[in-house]
Amino acid sequence: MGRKVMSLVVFISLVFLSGCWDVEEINRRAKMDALFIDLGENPGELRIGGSFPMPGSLLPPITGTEQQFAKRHYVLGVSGRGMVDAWAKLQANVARNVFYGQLRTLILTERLARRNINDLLDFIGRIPSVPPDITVLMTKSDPEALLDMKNRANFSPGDYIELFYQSVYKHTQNLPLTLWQVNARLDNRTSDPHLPIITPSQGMYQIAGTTLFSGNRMAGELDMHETQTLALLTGSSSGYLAVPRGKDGVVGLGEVGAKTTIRPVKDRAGKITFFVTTRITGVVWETIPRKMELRPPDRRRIEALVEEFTKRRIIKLLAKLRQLNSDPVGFGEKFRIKYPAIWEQNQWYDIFPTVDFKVRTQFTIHRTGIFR
Amino acid sequence: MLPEKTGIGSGLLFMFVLSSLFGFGIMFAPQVAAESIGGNGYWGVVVAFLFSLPVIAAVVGLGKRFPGKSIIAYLPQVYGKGFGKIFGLIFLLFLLISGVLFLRDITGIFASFFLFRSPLWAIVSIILLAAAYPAYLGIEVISRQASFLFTAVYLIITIILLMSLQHFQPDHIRPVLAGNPFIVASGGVRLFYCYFPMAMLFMVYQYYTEPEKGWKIINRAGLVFFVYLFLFVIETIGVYGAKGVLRYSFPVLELTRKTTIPYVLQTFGLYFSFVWLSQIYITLAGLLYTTAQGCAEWFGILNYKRFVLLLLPVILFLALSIPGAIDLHGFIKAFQTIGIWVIAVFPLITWAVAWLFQRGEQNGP
Repeated sequence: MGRKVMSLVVFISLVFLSGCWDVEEINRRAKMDALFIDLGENPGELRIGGSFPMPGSLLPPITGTEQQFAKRHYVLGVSGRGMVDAWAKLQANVARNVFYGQLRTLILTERLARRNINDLLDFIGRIPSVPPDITVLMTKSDPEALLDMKNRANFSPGDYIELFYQSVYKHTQNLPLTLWQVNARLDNRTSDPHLPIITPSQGMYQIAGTTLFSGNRMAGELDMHETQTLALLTGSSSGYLAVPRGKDGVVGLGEVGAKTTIRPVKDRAGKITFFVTTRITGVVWETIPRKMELRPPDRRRIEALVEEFTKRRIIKLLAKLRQLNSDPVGFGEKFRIKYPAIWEQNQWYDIFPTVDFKVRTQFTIHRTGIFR
Repeated sequence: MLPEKTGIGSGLLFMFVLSSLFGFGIMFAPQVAAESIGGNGYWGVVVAFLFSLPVIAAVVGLGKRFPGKSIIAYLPQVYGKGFGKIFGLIFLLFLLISGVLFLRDITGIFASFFLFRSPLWAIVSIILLAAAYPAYLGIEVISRQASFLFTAVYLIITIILLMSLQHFQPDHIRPVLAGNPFIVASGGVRLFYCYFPMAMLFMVYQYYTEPEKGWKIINRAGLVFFVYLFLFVIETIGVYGAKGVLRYSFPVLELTRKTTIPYVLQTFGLYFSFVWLSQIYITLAGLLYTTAQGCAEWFGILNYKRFVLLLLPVILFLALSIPGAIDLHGFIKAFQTIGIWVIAVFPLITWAVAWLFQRGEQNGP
């Protein structure tokens, strides 16, 4: 009996040996590494597309020769009524099956970001092959032209952006968020998403500055310096800071790290104040005018200078965030923890524009580099 | 009926309990915790664990009172033949439906992540056949399989658990002590579904060779499972936030999927899938085995092996008759409520009745 059953099982198993319904050889896949979503030309239409690296062209050149491929990727874009319609059209434009498993970035356009991004990200998030940790970016330029541009390094756009973010020194200039992090912020509503801005610059991509959101919609943007200030509030470890000193002087800091504590307090009149204390550390990379040796009085002067400078910047940034009703820092989370009952009964977007901030900064020089 | 002649020691019982609980309970628990309690849903896990203790006591107590007998065999002794048979049938149906819903639920993971185009019947059949083989060979083989996999599985799971701390935000799980106790308690009751595989113990405890250690061993397995469950729930809520968890169909898999080895881009989701799948086969094999064993005892005919084969088309039919994921979630929610009565309340009443009317061995607890 046992042998008969076993023989039957083996016989049935043979059916499955030839493959399964889902078998897809790697050479039948069109790998997409960057995806963009924009509004279509006609009302109700969306335009989506992406860059497809050509696998053969990704091989490095033979030693001592020039890179023989003028461009290593191609870009396609299609319009449709809704995401699925556009998605299907994109599939119809490619010989192989479009594969999203190696997608590295999602680029949204500004005019789209000013609408409800939650609906669009919902669609992307439901596709299981899309990695949840892709970086979401925003562009103000034509996304198709942006991706189609042959950058000087001749990277396919997805690889370029992936490589870009592997360096921790870039993060404080644009504060990247991944797809799942954006979704989590949209769901929890205790802080707002923020997306880095990507623009073409000198034949390369410049990723600097930040788009701010108020809930599901884009509310404004920060330039690179404002973004660096935001990084001080959200916590950073490898930032840069250039602090003006006198008329022509400057103190340049690297390896700027920051830790911020936020304490909400509600007074008897119901006024909410956030006490924001930011402790910053950094390495002196540049002092103009130069000093042969930095001594304790210099240290005190520099620290006071940086404290005053960052305090001014933070106050200015917080005023802007309040005016835009955008909370990328997570003041809402701190408020929810301290006053859960008030949080439950009220809309954070009604409360946030009315809050006050009391800012304190503290700066410590960690090192002075290899000069004294 | 040909009774099975086998025995499992403390080590095998521990492995069987731990693996079956892990396979059954871990995947969806953060979603249930976040939905029913909120940001501090992890307290619900503690409550659920506390609820599991009387069940373990009932398993051990009834096992001592009726040595060498399963719940199907001793229910007629406790309640009389008529009621005993009816209650036994209800218990069996519970085991059968547990298996069906569990099978269909995990099929969703296969269909969503790995086998998009494969027909449902093929996926269900493959999983079912893979679980049926150890079930056919009996409880000793199932528990030995759990034991064989133990070191590799829990080492990998522990590494994944640690790596998944990336992006953990303590603020998401705060305030720690602000939850309404009634909400936490009711959430804990809902989370008790994670301990439903303990129903199998009422069928297999008769084969345990060291019953004097029963309470300690089962408790130890329950405690280890509780630690993993607690950590996975706290991590998932801590990473996604209570409302963010609700977005996902398979929150724990999602937690591991977003975790990557830095710069290598290799997600841990795949590794977690492998090790978790090994545990679900043990759970499913256990459910299939205990249902078959129960059927053999209830009908008083055939060997459990025959019933394993007979049950396959029944389970396949029932699993395929659930129209889709949305209906399945509705069934599971209802089942979680009913299950508490079958797994927690009913055995405790049985134990009390047996003690009150002096059924079974008089020197039992």
